[in-house]
Amino acid sequence: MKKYFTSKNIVFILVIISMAIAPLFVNAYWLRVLITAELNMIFAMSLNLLMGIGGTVSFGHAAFYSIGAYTTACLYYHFGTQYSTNFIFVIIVTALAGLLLAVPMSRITGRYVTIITLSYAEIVNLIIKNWDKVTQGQMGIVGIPTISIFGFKLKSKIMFFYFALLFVVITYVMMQWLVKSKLGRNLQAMRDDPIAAEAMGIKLFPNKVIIFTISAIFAGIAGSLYAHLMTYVDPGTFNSAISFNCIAIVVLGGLANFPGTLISALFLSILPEYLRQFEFLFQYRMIAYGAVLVIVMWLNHSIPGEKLKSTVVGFFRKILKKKEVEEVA
Amino acid sequence: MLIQILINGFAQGSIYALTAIGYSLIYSILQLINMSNAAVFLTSAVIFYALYTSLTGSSVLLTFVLTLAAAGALGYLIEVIAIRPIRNKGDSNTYALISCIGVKTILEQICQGTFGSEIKPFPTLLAGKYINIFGARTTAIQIIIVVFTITILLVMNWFTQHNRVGRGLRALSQNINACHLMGMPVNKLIGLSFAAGSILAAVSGVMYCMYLSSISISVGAAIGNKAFAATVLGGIGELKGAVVGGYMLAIAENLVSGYWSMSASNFVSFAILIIVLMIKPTGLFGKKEQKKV
Amino acid sequence: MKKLLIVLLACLIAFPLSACTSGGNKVESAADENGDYHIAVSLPYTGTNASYAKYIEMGLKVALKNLEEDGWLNGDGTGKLILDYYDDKNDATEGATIAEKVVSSTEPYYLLEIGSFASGVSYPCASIYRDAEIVQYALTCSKSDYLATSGDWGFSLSMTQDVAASRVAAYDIKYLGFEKIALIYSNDSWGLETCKYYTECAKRLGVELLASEKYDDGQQDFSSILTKIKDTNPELVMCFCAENDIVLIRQQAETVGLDCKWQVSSKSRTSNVLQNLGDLGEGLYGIYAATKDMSNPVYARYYNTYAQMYPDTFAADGNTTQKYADQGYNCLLTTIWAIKETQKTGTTRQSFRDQLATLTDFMGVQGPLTFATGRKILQVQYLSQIVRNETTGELEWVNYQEVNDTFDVDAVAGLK
Repeated sequence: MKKYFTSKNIVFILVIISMAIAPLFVNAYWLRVLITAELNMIFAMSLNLLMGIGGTVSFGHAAFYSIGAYTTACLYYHFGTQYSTNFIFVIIVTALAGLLLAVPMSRITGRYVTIITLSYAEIVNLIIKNWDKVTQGQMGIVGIPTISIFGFKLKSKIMFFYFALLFVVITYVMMQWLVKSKLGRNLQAMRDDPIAAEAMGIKLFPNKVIIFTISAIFAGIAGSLYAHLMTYVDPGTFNSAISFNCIAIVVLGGLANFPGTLISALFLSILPEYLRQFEFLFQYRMIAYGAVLVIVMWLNHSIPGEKLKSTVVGFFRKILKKKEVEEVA
Repeated sequence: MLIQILINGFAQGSIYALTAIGYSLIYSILQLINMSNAAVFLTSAVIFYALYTSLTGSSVLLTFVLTLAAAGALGYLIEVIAIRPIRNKGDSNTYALISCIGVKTILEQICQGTFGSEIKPFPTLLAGKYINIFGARTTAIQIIIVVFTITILLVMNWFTQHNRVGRGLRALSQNINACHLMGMPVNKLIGLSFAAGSILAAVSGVMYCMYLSSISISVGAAIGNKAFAATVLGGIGELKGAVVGGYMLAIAENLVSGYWSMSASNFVSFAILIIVLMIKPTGLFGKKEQKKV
Repeated sequence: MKKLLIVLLACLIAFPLSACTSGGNKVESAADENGDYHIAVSLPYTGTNASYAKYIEMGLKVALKNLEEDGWLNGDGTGKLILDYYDDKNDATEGATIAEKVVSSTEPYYLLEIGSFASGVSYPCASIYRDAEIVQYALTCSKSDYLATSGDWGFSLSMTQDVAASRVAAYDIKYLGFEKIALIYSNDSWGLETCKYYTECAKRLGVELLASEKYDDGQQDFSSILTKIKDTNPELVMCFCAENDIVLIRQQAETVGLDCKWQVSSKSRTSNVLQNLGDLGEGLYGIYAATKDMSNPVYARYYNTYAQMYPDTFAADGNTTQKYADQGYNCLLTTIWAIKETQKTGTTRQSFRDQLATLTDFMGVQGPLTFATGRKILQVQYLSQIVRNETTGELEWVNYQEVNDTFDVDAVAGLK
């Protein structure tokens, strides 16, 4: 049991506890923002699995998000089914979508991955935009009801909040389990050195397929929750900006660092709404996003940046020298 | 209608080709997909517009030259600030890529903030003049674009084959470490290649706006993705591949758009891309790469 | 070290959550402690519809100025109307976030919400406002089922497309006599609806459209669409598009060599189009829902204040007001009326809504306004065209008001 209380897991527990008590303190607007943050957490964790563990930078992750959202929306629109049924189809359809993406990937070396994922996302978006019979195209699907599971309706936003929080916990636990499993270790080997991994007998193709599928499924789940939160979907919402936001969250939190993803998702979901008060700054929100990406990359992956980081950390260490000595002793 | 479609395709293809060369150049050297190229496309058009409407309203040529200079400087600056520190550390290219995206977002937002969301009229060359080719109208600006592109292609070809600096860039694309050892100013050359890519994007940006006789914010986005697709189609790292890819893609798009629908044409370009990559991952002209252990 | 990490992380998590403020209780009367009323305005200040947002805001501001001249709501300088403007970026998600913010905001407490411009943004947000029981005055929303889905809480000053688009078809086919018609429309909620109703009405009147091409938002290169349409040899091309798009379409049609008549809907019948098209615009048909009727005192006052406040736009438009500014003015005028009527018993969101729904023969800038069954607005529209003024030689928009005297467009369109 003790081995589960790593610092990373403690962060996770702290986040969950803070989120769990949050509804007592916030109003409906901020509750909605927090729900969006939860969905971003699930979405970003799925991408982190693909990027951090699988080593594949995907610029088209919004594709799976939108597929998940549209699956549940279309099923509701055409058949009036509730979430408990839709959920199964969401998993099936997004898994298929993930498989579909993994197949071209098998023949492509690392660097083309970006363009493939980008094109894939564009194609999915185009299909949604133009397959009017099923997705209603640009008109969108309106009036999606709140989530009901076997007849039990999530009547209030607070219940939705906890439902989504449950998913966050499940996702995190599964991610951690995956990372530690044989699959996870294989993937990390593939990420670090594909040729050596192949030489050791790790087959690239099946592993890639599995990781895409799993990542797609979780992204799709996040998307399906989103559809029920917003009560409508339209193709315009699912653009490349969502993919890039997700990448920003993953990068900011740290690749392969799932607790970090949770925190950065919270941060990057709350910050723009917080800034909304300063309306005149608002148009600069995206500039801030861009700057964040550049700066974080600079800090972590350039020599002067690392020097700066170590100086700052060293400074803090000096202040708390006492504790350090204790540890050593 | 077919002739008209082909002619439209050629003109559009030139725009894609110019931007695609920029992508290809940087990729061949750094194995980095320069996502900020599309943003430079837009920024140069905005700079041209700003200069033309405020300072140099009289001369298109002067504005053009100034815009190219500004674009080149911008490209160099991007390399120095966003790419070089990461590259020097030697970490994986993913991080430089994400940095590129950051730069792209910043540039786009600045353009949106300063330029606004409306469409504004853009100066064009020889407006209204056209010739008839087999019943299809070819406007003067279309001809100018195609001629310009082919000229630039020939110049680039000469540059990389016969010019010392150009050959230096080719050497970089083969083996950067060897270049370091040979005492070449690698950093400056890479900065130069970014500048060159930006200048090309500027040319295509300004030409595109002239073609449409108008400029608006959405100009960069669609072209960027398509040009990138063209690069990959033709084979990343191959300049003539980028050009061929650009033309092929534009003509295919226009054909589908003409005989089927516009929405289908967007779909088709990405579909073609994926199919080609599945069959021949290195693109039409790409050479198979040896992965070193 | 571990403990330090935990403490730091706890702070890091606490910060974002502390940014979330707590909520409050529902209030009794909508007025704040100064007796002022707060109104939220959600418009697309960025994005393709930015110019329309500007026009609407102009109309709102003119109305505010007039109200101020009257001594605000109470006549003695108290009872102000305070408008908070939000940018929804023409995006439904943004609109929904703003909607949530507006409905849960206690400081200030909003009486109603005005906006958004695009049906694609107002429509999805309707459920949020409906559930929170706050009026959404989507003044320009023309989606045919908007009023139905918004429960009792949605109001619009715009005609719905089933009426508007059918009328255009009636004018084109039965009055102007075109039989070979091609259609270009934008691929968004509005465009899809207009295309549907135009095509249906055309079919009713015995005309099969030669071509029906849609284009995506942000599309700038129409040459392939135009080449295709040119091949079908139309007499008229009907464009359901924004004012920016028609300029591009017309210019590119010229390069492609497409020679025919052109028609736009009221959305593109603006002075921007007139200016940007220049000589190319001569002969362009449009639809207009307004007239410059100085004998209407409401219009006269609005006209004069508008000319004072926005002299440049006013002059550029040929000394008239912008259509969307008119609607903004009407919107606020009706709002002011409803507040004044309910002030005696205390204006709450509910009483405001009930009062507004009873609007009958209210004199707006373009004539009387009535919310008929289902709160639909009925308006008179006129066929319009860009013609060259004989005396000045300048191009200008002209409304053919006399056409409606002999041509009963609603009957022809099969709407009666």
